[in-house]
Amino acid sequence: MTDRAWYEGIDIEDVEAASVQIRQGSATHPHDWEARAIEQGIVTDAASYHDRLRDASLAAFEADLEALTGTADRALVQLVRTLDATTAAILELRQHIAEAITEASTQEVRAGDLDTLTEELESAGGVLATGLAGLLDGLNDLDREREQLRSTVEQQAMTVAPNLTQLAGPLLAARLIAAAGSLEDLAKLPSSTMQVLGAEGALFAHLRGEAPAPKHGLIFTHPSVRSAPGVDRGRVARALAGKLTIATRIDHYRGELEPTLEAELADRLTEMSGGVRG
Amino acid sequence: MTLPAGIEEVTIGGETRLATEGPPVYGEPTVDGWRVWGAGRSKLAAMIEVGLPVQFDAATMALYLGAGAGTTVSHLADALDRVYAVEFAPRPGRRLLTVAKEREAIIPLLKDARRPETYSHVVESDCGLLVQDLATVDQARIAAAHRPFLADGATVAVSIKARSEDVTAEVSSVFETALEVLDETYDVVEHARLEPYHDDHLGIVARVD
Ligand SMILES: C[S@@+](CC[C@H](N)C(=O)[O-])C[C@H]1O[C@@H](n2cnc3c(N)ncnc32)[C@H](O)[C@@H]1O
Repeated sequence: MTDRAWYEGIDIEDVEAASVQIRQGSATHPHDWEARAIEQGIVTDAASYHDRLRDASLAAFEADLEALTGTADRALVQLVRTLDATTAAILELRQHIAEAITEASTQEVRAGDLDTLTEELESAGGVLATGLAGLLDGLNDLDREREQLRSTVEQQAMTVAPNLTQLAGPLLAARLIAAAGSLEDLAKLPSSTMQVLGAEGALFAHLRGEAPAPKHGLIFTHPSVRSAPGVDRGRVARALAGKLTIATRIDHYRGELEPTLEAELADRLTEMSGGVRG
Repeated sequence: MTLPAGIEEVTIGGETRLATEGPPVYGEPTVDGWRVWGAGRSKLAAMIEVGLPVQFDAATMALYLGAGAGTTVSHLADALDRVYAVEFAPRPGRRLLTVAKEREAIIPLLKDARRPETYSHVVESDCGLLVQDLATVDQARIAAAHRPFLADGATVAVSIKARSEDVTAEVSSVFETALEVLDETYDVVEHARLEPYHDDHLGIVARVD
C-alpha cells in the first residue's frame, strides 16, 4: 500500500475537503510531504504549503472538537432538513412555471430540468417570457446554492457518522439521523425501527390495523433495496437495517471508521441475491 | 549552558527566567515583548532549567505530543517556524485551538498519540525535535514509536510522569524501565529529575543517530 498525503486527490486550496482528509486519512509512515507537494507543483513554496496545511488543520481540529462534543449532529439535522425543504421548493416552482407555460401557450411543457424550462420559456416568448425569466434565473441561482448545501451536508454526514455514511451514503445517513432526531437517538433504535424509519404514516396505519406492516421507510431509497426484486425487498431492507444499526452504534459509541463494515454488507447482500429464495 | 534558538534569559524581579518573544497567552509576565516561560508550568522549560541539553536551531520542525492547552507549544511556536501539536482531549483542545489561531507556526492535530498512523499523512518525516509530555501509560514506548517522524540527529525531549505509568511501583524503577525502552530506539544523552519544578517527573534527552 502506498501512503497518500493529506492533500492528495483534492484541490489543496479546498479547505473543507483538505480538512476531511486530515481527519479521516492515515498513512503507515510519515514522508517528506512538503517536498513532494512542491515537486509536484501542488504548491509553489514551503511558505504556501505551510499556510494551506495550517488552514486545513485548524478546520479539521474545529470539526473534530464539534464531533467530540456532540454538536455536529444537531447541525447536520438542520442542514439536511433545510436541503430537503429547498429541493421541494425548487421542484414546486418548476412545476408551477411549467404549467404556466403550458396554459399560456399551446405547447405541452413538463417540469423538466431548469435548462429545458428556460428554453421552453424563451420559445414561448412574449410577456410570459419577460415576466418569468428573472424568476427562472433566480431559481437557477437557488439550485446552485442547493448543490453547495448538499456538499456541505455530505461532508458533515461523514464527520458525524462515518460508518453509517459509508454504508448508507451521506444523504440517506443524514435523513435517518434527522428522522430519529439525533445520532444518539438513532443509535438507540432497534433495527426493526430503523427499517421503517421515515415511513411513520404507514407504520401508524399498520398499528391501527388499517394497513399491512411497512417493509421499508427511508432505507427504501438505498440502491440495494431499490434494485432488489419485489419479493426480496423486505428481506434486503431487513438485512440492510441490521448493518446500518451496527454502523450507527459504532459511530455513536466509538466514533471511528471501521473499514470492514462495508465489505460485510456487500457479502451479506450477494449472499442474499445468490441464496435460495422464499 | 547554551540555550536553544529563540529562547533567552530575561531578568524580572531580580530573578533570571527563560523567555520567548511573542504576544502573551495566559497572563504570563513579559519584559520588552519577551514572555516569561516558567519552569513550573512547563516540563520542557524545567528540562532546560535543570540543565538538560535540549538543543534545536531556528529551522527545526517540532512534533509535540500531549500539547494540552498549548502553554509550552505557544513558547516553542515563538522560537520555531512549525510545531505539529498533537492532543486528544477536547477540553484542553479548545484552548489549544485558540492559541493555534494566534500563532502561525502551530499545526494543531486532535489525534491520539498512541495511533501515529492517524497523522502520518500530515506530519513530515524529518522533524528535528520531538517533545513529549503525555500523562499516560507507556510514555517511553509512545516516544519510541515516533522514530519515523524524526531526522537523523534530531533531539528527543521526553518527560516521564511516574504516577501515570504505575501508581504502585517505585518511582525510580519506573524511570529505569522508561530509560531502557527509550535507549532501544534512541541514544539517551542525559536525564534528570525535574524537581523542584515537577514532582516525580523524569526529563530525558535523547538523540536520533
Ligand atoms: C501534562 S498535560 C500537557 C501539558 C502541556 N504539554 C504543556 O506543557 O502545556 C498532558 C496532556 O497529554 C494529553 N494526552 C494524554 N494521553 C494522550 C494521547 N494518547 N494522545 C494525545 N494526547 C494525550 C492529555 O489530554 C493532556 O492534555
